[in-house]
Amino acid sequence: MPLSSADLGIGAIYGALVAAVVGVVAGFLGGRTGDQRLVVAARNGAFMACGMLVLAACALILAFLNHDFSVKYVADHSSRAMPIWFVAAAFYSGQEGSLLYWALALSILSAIAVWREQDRLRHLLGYAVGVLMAVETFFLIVLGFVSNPFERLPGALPDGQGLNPLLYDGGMLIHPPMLLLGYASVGVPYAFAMAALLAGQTDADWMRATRRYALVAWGFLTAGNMLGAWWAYHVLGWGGYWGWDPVENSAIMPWLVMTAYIHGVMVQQRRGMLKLWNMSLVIASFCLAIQGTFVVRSGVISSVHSFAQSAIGPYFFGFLAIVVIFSVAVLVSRLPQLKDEDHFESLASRETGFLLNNVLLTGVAFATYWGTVFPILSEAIRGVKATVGPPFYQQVNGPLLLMLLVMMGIGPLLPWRRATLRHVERSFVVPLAVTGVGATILVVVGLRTPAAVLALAAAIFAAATVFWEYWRGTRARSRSTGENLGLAFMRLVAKARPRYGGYLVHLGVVVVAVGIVSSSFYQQAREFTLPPGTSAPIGRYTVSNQGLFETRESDARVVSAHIGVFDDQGNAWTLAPGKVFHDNFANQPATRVAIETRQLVDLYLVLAGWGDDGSVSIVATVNPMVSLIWIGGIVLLFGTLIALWPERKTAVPPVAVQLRVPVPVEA
Amino acid sequence: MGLVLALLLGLVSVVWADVEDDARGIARELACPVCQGLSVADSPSPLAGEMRDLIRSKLVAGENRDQIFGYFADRYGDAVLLSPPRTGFSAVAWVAPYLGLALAIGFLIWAVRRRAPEKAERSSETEAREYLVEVDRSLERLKDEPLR
Repeated sequence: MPLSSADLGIGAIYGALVAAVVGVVAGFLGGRTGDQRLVVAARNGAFMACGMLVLAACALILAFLNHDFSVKYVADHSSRAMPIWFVAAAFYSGQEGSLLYWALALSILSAIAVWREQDRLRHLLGYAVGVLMAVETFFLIVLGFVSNPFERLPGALPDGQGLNPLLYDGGMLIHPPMLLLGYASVGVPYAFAMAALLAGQTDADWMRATRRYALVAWGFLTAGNMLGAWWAYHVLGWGGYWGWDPVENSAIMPWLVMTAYIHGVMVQQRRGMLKLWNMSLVIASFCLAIQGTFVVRSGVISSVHSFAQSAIGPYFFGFLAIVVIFSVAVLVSRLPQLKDEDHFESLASRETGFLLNNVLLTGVAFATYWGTVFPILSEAIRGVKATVGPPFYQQVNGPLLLMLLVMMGIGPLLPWRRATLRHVERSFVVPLAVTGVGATILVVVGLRTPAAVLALAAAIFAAATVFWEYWRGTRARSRSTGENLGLAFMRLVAKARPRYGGYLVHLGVVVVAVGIVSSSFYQQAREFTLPPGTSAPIGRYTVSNQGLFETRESDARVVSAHIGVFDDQGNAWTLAPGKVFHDNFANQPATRVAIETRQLVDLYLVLAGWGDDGSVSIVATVNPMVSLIWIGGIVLLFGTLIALWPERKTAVPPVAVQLRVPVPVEA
Repeated sequence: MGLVLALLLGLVSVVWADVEDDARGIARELACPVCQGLSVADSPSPLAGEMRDLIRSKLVAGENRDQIFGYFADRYGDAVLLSPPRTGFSAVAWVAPYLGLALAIGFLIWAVRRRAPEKAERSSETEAREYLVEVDRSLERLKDEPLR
């Protein structure tokens, strides 16, 4: 038998494993002895592992494109009839492939980070590579010996199984890779944090690097979660975008803790405080990211997302335990170095605001974690099955998220150290006035649900703060430089990208929040069974059954209903919700949702069933402002990009950092 | 006559719409027993459809939310309730997050306050640091104020 791409792939995985082990050994030794030759060897090991993993990934994609059905993974997840881009995307549709993807993503990010930081963070590089490659080693052992994507079948099959019908969607091409990339990317800030601890050099250097890579990871996690919500909304067909399902919870928890870190680290950079707390947040983010990967890819918790099931559970559990024990041990051994250099001066200060933000974010993460594991605890301790579903999270997390929204408005207006009454007047009057006017308008327009009005008022407040901050900065710059307002605004943002990019992120969050609040409180849903030619009302729409059709697509039979829609303004259009029966999964029809967005209101139709007489059962949902969630998501990511955009090296280090150099003063 | 009929029809549809919304509210709090992670309101399964019909007829018969929840909990066990009961062991599910938050906020206040009475022991080092802090603060103020 000639050498196939699968043989190449398995060879590349073993090669990557060897390179990663070299990276671990040389990295830790080099970090400990300071021998630069060892550090260079470790660095080259990381590059090598990356190259090998790229090779392995290419081999797997090639096996898919060649329809090599002698490879079990290829036969299980693709078929000849599938469109070619889905064949390529089937790469990460199962457990083995997505673990390979994870390892690949971490190795590429590691290589980039190591390349970028090899001069600036020379003293940390050995340990950082060591930690990164240790994580990589674990994944490569699983890939090589437990969950091998290149495992052979006794003989080649004529055709493969095809993709799980739920994955047949454009979202499949971007959501899973983005979220897995998000999980993997948390490894980089974690590695630099651990390196700083191991090297005993917990000064500003690691923080700069870690903060930057944490922001990158945060961006990927954000995009992964947003795309997941978008996918759920467009594909799963239950009219919502977030179900507080265990897999979704696992994806949002590292995001929440990472968000806390990104804010907490600002206090550390500015005031030299919260060192221990920030380290703990980085460690917790990474543990949660590993857990997220584990939950989504092991089937340990039952969920609509568990597409894969196998025996990797104990391996992941063991790995997670090692990561926790190792991290905590290293953290404890360096406790004396993590003493804060300064202390809080007042409850009304920027740093206290950040601290409260951190408490709330980790509080939401904790409540979510608790809700996810409570059914397991209940079963284990009392033998009672319990369910913790969306109503629990809405009631527990809802108020916390509302407080976070309010803090998002208050925080940026507070000065560092201590707020004076004069300052409060100067900063808060305008945003509060805007909020008052806005809330009044909401009530006048007819919003009556107190929780909704409160949440939207908080959103207005947070948005007003952002605009007020932009305006104050622009005006000050324009006055001092004589630039016109437009130019002053552009230069203001360009000069302090993390700050003003961050505000844009806040604005994106506000837009998302408005979308979530509106669609949660003002959703309407109706079920109809419509005989041919009849119609029924929902909200300001009337929907009518204009017939049932059956069509044929590449490897599927599609049944769809033509639904005529009229709204109260005399507009008319047709929607075609349907069910898709893929040939190899005829008993698992996929839903084809029909969505029409007009004036930010979605009419969301799902075909639930049909009768021999041509009658159709339709579930119709009116979802106001869901589009704002996607728009806000784009704003948010754009803000992240601005915050991340590299600044030129001419910038003067921040005043506070310059002054904290210990100056001997004679008494 | 026609007007009366139209009014009556309108009334019926208003009442019916209320039942629909209430039924959906209840269905959203119940887990579909044969699905994974979907509520009775959102599940496409036939059983969930029957449960929705049952909820509607119970509402029309005048039963309230708690009676309906009780009925389903008796039939399918407490696991059918998407928010665990606030009694017995399940109450732990509700208490723990708030307890955690209360502890965290208590810790926050303690962390902010704990350094306050340190003023008594002034060393040359703290004095020097306070001086630097003051310089820091002045520079900060300069940064905030527009240049004149």
